[in-house]
Parts: sequence; C-alpha cells; structure tokens
Amino acid sequence: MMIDRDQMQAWLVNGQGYPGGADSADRAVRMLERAKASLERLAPGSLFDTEPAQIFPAMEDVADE
Amino acid sequence: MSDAAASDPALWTLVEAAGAFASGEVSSRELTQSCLARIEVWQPVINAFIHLEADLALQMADAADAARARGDALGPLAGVPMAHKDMFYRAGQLATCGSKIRRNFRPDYTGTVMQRLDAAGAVYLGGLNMSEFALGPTGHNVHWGACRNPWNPAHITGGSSSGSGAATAARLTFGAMGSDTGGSVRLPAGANGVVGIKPTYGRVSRYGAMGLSFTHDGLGPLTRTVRDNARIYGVISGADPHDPTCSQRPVPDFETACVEPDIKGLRIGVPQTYYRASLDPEVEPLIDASLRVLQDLGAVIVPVDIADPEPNTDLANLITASEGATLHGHWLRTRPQDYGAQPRARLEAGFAVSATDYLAALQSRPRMVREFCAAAFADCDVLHAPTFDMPIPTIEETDMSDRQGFAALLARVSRCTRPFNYLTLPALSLPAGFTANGCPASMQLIGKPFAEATLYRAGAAYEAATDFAAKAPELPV
Repeated sequence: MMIDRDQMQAWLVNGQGYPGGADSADRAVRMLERAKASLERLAPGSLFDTEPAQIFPAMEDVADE
Repeated sequence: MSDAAASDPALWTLVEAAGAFASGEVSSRELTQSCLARIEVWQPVINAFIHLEADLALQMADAADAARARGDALGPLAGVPMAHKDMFYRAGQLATCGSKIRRNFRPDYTGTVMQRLDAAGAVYLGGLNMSEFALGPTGHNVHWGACRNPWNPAHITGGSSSGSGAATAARLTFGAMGSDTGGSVRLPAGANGVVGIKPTYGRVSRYGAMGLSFTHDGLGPLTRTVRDNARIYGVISGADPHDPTCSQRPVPDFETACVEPDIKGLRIGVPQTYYRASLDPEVEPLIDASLRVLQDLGAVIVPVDIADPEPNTDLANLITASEGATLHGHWLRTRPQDYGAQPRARLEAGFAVSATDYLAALQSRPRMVREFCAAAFADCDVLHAPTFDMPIPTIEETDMSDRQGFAALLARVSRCTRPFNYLTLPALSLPAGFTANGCPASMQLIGKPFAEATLYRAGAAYEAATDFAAKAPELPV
C-alpha cells in the first residue's frame, strides 16, 4: 500500500477539511491504488510532450468523416 | 399508427406529434393535455417527475397554438411537450438536481440546450426524477424517492437520468433530455426500452446544465424512436460561445440519416472479450438476435479485439471523483449531512487525488483515444455491445446506500457504458427485446468521434426491422 488508511484519513480531515471517517479513507486509498496501477499500465514512461487539451486534435484525427 | 395510438395523441411519436401539430390536425394544448392526463395516472406508480409545471406547459402550448394561427414559421419541435432531467437550468424555474441541497434552487438564466429547445418550439412539462446530483446508475434517490420502471415497477429504471427513461417509456413526454457521465443516458434508455444517445464529447453545449465532471459530461435525448432522437439532437447540437469545449464542427442533418436507412455493407464490430464475458445467459440470446437483425439488413458482422477497458475506467473514476469533489467541495465540507450516503461516498474520494495524478490521468487520454480508435475501428465502422449485460435488477436488491460492496455494484451496473466516456465516443442505446421479468434488454452502437449520423442510420434501420419501438408499458392493475 502506497499510503495507509490512517494517513489518508488524516489528510482528508486536516488537509482537506472534510469530516470523512475510516471508510472514506479506505475507499480513497483503493481508488488511488487502482488508478495509479492503471496509469502505469496504460501510459508507462514519460508523457513529457503531452498536455490534456490535446484530446481535441486527437478526436479530430480519428473522427468520422 | 395503431387504433390505440390514433385515439390518444400522447401515444404518437415525437415526429408524428410535431407533424400533426404543423398540419393543424391537433393543437399543442391537446398534445399537452394528453401528456398531463397520462402523468396523473402514471406518476403514483413510477415517480418519474420531481415537479410538474402544468400551468406553464399549458401557457406555452397556447402560445404555440397562437403562433400557428398567426402563420408564424414553426420550428421542428413546435407544440411538442417535453420534460427533462431536473438539472437543466431555466430562468426562474426549479432545478433541484435531484438533491436536498438544491431543493428550492431557481437559476436566473436559461442554459443553451433549453434555449434551443424553446426556439424550436417545444413545450416544457417539468423536471424529471434523477439520481442525486447525477451520481448513481440505478435510479435510487433518498430525497425524492426511487424512480420505478414502468415495465415492472419493482425494478430499477437505471440512472442517473431515471425519470427521463421512465417518463419517455410510459408516454408521459415525447422525449426528455438526460446527461451521461458514465452511462446516465444509455442505462435508463436501456432499462426502460427507449432510445438514448451519449454524444461525442463537445458535440452538445453543457452551458446551463448542472455539471458533474466537465471532461466526461455529455447531454443527450431519450426518445421513443431513433428518428425522434435525431430530430432533438439536431436542434441541440453545435458550437456555443458559452461553452469553450463545444466543437466548431458543422452539424449534419441527423434526421435524414433515419429516412429509408440503408446499412448494406456497414461493418459492425463485435468485441470478443470484456463485453461478452459477463453476459447473462438470459440476455445473451437477445444481444445475438440484435446482431442477426443487423446482419439480415446487410451489415457485415466482424469480430474485433479491443483492449481491456478496465484501466480506462479506473482513470475515469479518478478524474470524475476529482472534478466532482471540486464542484461539491464547499457543500461537502459544510453540509455533508444533506447528501445521500452513496453520492457523498463517491464524491469524497476526489479529495484524496493529487493534482499530478489527476493531470496524468487526463494526459494519457489523447493517447488512449488514438490507440483505441486505431485498433477498434481498423476493420469496422461501428461497434456493437450490450448496454446492460444482465436482466434489470430490482430496486430492493440494488438498494445498498454506502454499505460494503456498493462500489462494486455500481461498477457492475455501468461496466458496459462507462469506458466510452473516457474515450469521448458517441454511443446510441437501443431496445433489444425483453427478459422474463418483463423489463427490456438493450444494446448500444458505438462510433468514432462525431459518427452520430452513422449511428442513427444503423439504429433506424434496426428499429424498422423490429417492433420494440411500438411497444408501450401498460399501467399495472
């Protein structure tokens, strides 16, 4: 586990000002772990020359004509 | 048109109703009164409306009748009553967003989609039930009560545009707008046996519609027929200076694609993994039958091999939680008790996401779109997949609030729809028969970005070869 539940709970309460409990922290940890693993699987390495707004030219490149 | 339909204008399709109004066969007041009469008897059974605006609707109907009498030019939706998911802003009108927090919210401006429907002549009936803040694929709502499936009221409607699906199926409205962030148009369309489209990202302006996740939200209509859907979609699509993410592309004539549609030679790809892996044995033959209909119409069915979409879904969940938590941050911190447990649990996870993780998930999106489309559409024009891969479950068995396992349940319900939101792609949900519980089965056609006209052409051809669009649920005795 990259971050444990207690750390997450402390971050939610003290860092984000959100009154979430242990269940909230558990869910957040699980979501982050899955997303980080998927990101590593989908896009390993550098995304140095990419920025999110490139979604629009990407859509145009593959669009139906 | 059947004898029953001929006697009750509310049973006409939207295109039939608009045509009858334009020709003088029926008044807008008669159309509106027909819908109001059905709402009165169906509302206690399915709870599709959050608020009904009967007086306003009749005023708008009378204005439409007067405009016709003057000889004014009539728009493509002139005189036609419609209700919408209760998150589309109209100046001075309630927009509860299915929530307690916005129970009395009345925006001071009208959003683009509503402006365009008004300009096309549509009449506004009221705000439809929805999952709280559009969070939830089942149609439960702890504040306004669950919306119920008109085909079997013990079963869910799908969500989050629950009332849009139920009211359209029960013939309470000629069509309804919904929103789709992970399946929220297609799931209620599928569960209620109507037609629903998730637009290409950026095809329809989101200005003046409640946001949930601005990189994933799409607004689309639910209707009784494909051509009805195409007509509304043509009205609402196109560039909008109020929404900078809206595409500048010209809007094609979607409705023309539905007239005498020919799909001979259209290549329809069937993903061999994931979408078929979890198909329920009762649903599988119905999905296969829908493919045979398309094949009999001349389409070429080809197997396609596409990557496991689960990693995309993980990134989509991270993005939508982050964006949702940002939008809801103030209320989550100051009024957490005013949220239902499940929407709150989904939103709060967004507080945990770092800016770098959020941006990395967005950074990978252009690459994923290019890679997916290159692989998926290399040998086909559109993809075919279930909308629901299981029979529609009951309200009771999916009423989990935030108990252990709720996230898995939500993922299970939306597993076939959610991947296409991250990928920006348009998807059209269509009826595909009925299961033993009396509820509809459904499939979706997915295209490349901006391929909606192709989806409508294929959908209209399929619809003409089946009788699902003519079936309407009957009031339980």
